[in-house]
Amino acid sequence: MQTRYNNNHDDNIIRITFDRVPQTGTLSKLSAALDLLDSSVNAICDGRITEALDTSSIQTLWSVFNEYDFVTGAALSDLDYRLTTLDASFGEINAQNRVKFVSLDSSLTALQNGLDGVRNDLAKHINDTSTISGGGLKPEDIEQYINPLEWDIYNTSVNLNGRINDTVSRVIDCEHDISTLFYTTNITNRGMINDVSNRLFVTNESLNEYNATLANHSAQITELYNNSQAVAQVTETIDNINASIGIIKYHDTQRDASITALREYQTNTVDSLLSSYTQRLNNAESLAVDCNVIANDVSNRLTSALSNNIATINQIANTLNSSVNAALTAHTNFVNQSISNLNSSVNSALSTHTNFVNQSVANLNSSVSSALSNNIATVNSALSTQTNFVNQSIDAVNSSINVLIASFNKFESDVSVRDLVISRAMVDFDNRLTLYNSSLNAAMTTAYNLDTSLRGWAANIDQRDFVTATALNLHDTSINYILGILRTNGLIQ
Amino acid sequence: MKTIIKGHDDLIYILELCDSSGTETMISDFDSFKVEIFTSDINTAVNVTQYISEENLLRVPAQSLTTLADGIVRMKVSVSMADTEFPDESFDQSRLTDTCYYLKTYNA
Repeated sequence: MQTRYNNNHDDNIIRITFDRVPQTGTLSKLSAALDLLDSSVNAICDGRITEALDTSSIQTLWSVFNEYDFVTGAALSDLDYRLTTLDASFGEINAQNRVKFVSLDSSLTALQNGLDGVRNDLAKHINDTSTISGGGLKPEDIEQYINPLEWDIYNTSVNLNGRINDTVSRVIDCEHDISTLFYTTNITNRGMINDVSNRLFVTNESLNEYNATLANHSAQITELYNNSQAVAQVTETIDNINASIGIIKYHDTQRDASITALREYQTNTVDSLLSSYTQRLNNAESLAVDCNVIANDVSNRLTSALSNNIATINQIANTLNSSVNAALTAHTNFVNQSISNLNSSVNSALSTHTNFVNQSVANLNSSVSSALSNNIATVNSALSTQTNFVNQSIDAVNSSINVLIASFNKFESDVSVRDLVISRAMVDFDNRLTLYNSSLNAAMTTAYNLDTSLRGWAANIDQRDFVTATALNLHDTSINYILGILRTNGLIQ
Repeated sequence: MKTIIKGHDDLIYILELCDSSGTETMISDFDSFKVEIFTSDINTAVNVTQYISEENLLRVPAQSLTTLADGIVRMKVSVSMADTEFPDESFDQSRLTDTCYYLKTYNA
């Protein structure tokens, strides 16, 4: 079960006031400084190094950061002072409460001892008077004496308990106020710190984006540079290839010329040989025809001279056949030899041309490999240089971010301190103004009184002047009267 | 002297909200409005979802208080609304306040 304590029903009304005032002043300076930093980062990304390193911009940034530093230090000192004072006040209150408790305890003990003494005295007195007949204190007298005393003791005890409860309540309220103050201060500080952290997080994210953009630009520059180098290498390689192609074309032309020459040789020589062979064959056939004619003639002659010498005729025929066969064999051998020589020449020419082409291709491969190797080394070197540059830039930006975060943290705390200082100054000014008004009123009163007194004095002086003038007139009249009497009596002329 | 209220009573609060110029504001004027009730530890705060925006009336059910530790009942009010006067074009703020209730648990 829970019990809730409440002072009264009107306390159900909760009043909350929001400080709906846009933040200006130092925060605006910080925002402007961040914008300036953004511009510098953008200038770096765009390659406008001179603009990014502008002296006035850097001085503006450092002045803002130094201001944050100073204000933050003062704010922390003031907060530390407040906490120390609060702790000391709390300790003093505790010490005072302890003293009060000890004093109350002593008072209660003394009161109890006094009550015991009174009881003892009464008991002794009753004992002493009990033997006296009709004398001494009666029980009702004793009750009449004791009851008010007990009531006084009871009332005193109730009063003391009330004071103790009141003191405890005040201690609880004091602890509550202190804890609330601490809690509110912590929440406010945490809110400010969270706000600053969020802003720094956003700023850091933006700077990270700038870093990424810078890295991207650097990568693109590197890629463009590498591409330009690669294009140059490829162009050179293409030129080499074109030169090689020219050489190959030249050799192709040479080869075609060789083939043409071979074909001409084949046409001129082989065809000539074939023509010659054909001619010879025709001649042989013609000769054979002639031989047949002769043979027919011989046959005829043989037929006619068959009876003369058949053996001679056969011999002549055999001789003739041998001659024809020898001629045919020689011609065939010649043709085969020519074809073999032609094949050998063609094979030699093809082998020479193939070796030349292979050599050209090997040279071309070597040139391409060399060019690629040089290109890769150049690309690696450029990449290493760009990577180092980007890393150094990122380190520099991160360092600037850390400085900015530290400065920002210190600065934000200053806002509350300056408000506190202004509040105190306003209170002091109000107090002085009140004192000044009081002094002015007192001075006005004094001036009025003085004026009244002066007017009184002036009236008195006028009155005295009038009295003096009257007295002088009377004095002159008296002297003239006396002088008249003296002249009348002849005492003076 | 403190008044002791026993039993499972709901807490009813009337919020008087105003800005630094003294202008009164209603819950319905804010784009977002959040109230949390807690005692000693804000991490155990209970969200209050029952309120009447047009009357700034807040109701904290008694059942939601059973999870809170003993101590002063505190309240955290967080609001936000569009305001072009601020750099982020938004006014947002949280306020802590103590109520006059002290929550104490004892064995019945």
